[in-house]
Amino acid sequence: MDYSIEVSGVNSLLIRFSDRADPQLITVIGRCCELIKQYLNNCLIDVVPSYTTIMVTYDLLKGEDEMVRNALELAVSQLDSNSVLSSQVRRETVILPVCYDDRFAPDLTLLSDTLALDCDEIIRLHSERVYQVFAVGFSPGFGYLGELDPALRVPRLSTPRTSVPAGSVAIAELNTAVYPQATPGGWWLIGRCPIPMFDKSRADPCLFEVGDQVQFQPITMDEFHCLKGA
Amino acid sequence: MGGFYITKPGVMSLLQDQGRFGYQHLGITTGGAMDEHASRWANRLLGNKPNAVVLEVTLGNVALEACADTWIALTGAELGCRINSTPLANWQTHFVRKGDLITMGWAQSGMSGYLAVADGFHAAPEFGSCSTVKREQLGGLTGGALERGDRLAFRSAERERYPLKRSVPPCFIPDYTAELNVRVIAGYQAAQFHPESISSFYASKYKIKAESDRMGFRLQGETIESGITGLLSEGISYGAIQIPADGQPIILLKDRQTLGGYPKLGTVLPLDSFSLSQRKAGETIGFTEIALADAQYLMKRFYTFFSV
Repeated sequence: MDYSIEVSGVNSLLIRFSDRADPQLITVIGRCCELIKQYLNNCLIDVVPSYTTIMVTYDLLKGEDEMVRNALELAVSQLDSNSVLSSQVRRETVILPVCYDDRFAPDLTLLSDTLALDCDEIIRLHSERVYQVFAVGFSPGFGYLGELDPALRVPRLSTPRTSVPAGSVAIAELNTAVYPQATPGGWWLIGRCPIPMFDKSRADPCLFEVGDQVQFQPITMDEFHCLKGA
Repeated sequence: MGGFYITKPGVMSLLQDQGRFGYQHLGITTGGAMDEHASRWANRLLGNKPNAVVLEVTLGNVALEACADTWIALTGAELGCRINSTPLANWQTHFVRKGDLITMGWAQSGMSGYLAVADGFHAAPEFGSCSTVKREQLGGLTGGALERGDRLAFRSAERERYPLKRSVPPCFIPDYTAELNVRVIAGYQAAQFHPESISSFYASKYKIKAESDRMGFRLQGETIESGITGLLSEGISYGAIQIPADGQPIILLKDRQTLGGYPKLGTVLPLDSFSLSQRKAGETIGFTEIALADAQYLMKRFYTFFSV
């Protein structure tokens, strides 16, 4: 596997696998993170995967630069073995219910005109696909899910909204996402998910991590309120 | 349980420890005291654990009433701190009696002052840390800055607990008005930048812009062209120097977003990021390169000093 290791800080190294995002690579990156956590268990501070990179931060008083580099190289070398490829899917696909009702989808009509597709067709294309989690960031629990069906790809809105409601399901460029918190945002809003993306009181505050798979399931307004209340 | 009752919260007063680690993969930033040199000294003067919770007061204008006896330590920005109108020396410990009013004026030098209390302030940690990150509504008392009427809890301490006042040796007290030369560890996309861009970056002086905050310090000066396009978002370390499309550098600090897609030419030596956080808008800074091994030596020495 081709990769390079860059310095990303006094106690931080970044593994770069490629310049192009790719659904297979991101699964491998997810697996690589697990191996890094095993090998460097006692000196790790943070392991941050994203699209084509993994940034590793370590405790300078517990780990030497060379030892960390060697562990990263060892982790990457394990990725070519069959055992890793056969255990690609680490967890079950996360199913996220989405209500695509107009009241939650202020951009759906405009999107339908822009793409020259029926709203129903947009919903079908959006919910049929199994997405990979390419990165989690921007805000806690914000997952960059991809890649969208080529028929659904649009640039970001020219004027971002100053506030997007929490739970909004959105698309832009190659990605789709659910906004975990009410934040400013420039993506097209096409629905809403009743399950909180980030909840600090849950054992698993985030529903997914990089490398996991996610699929959307259309629900009605009644089902939305039922799930929201539950 | 003793406490300080906040009668004047100031511009931005936050409970901080050394930060929230191990959750950046969920998009949760580290936060933490902006100036670890000052905040760690405050805890050290009182013999606290290095990660004890301190009060970070940015710009000043704060008043607190003590509901119990305790010892405090003051470090960082010079805020003209007083007890019942008697001036208190900075970089030193002081005994505080029940009923005393502690006041802080506006920062005369530096940006953030630290007030530590014997054994640290009590707060409920979230994701392993009490550091307040307003954007994420995590840490502190309620996920935000202190407000009038808040109560900062601590266990009271008797005068006899410390036989003497303690102060920081003068050689460890920084001058926040001195021009800062920031040491940079080359890294990330540094090798892909135009070499002329890199040399002009190191040859130039940059002014700190008013839009600087806990997320990052924005600089104004010579435009740097990276010549790099189409970068995907990747992990951002503390002190990363990001060059956005307008070519004006941004140094990412404690409340930075965990991911970013702008080219980066390296990271600031953490010691200098601590010093940078004490510089005011309008002041100028310069940059020099430091070898990774030298940078690691300096940081190991710093953390070893504060871990004993």
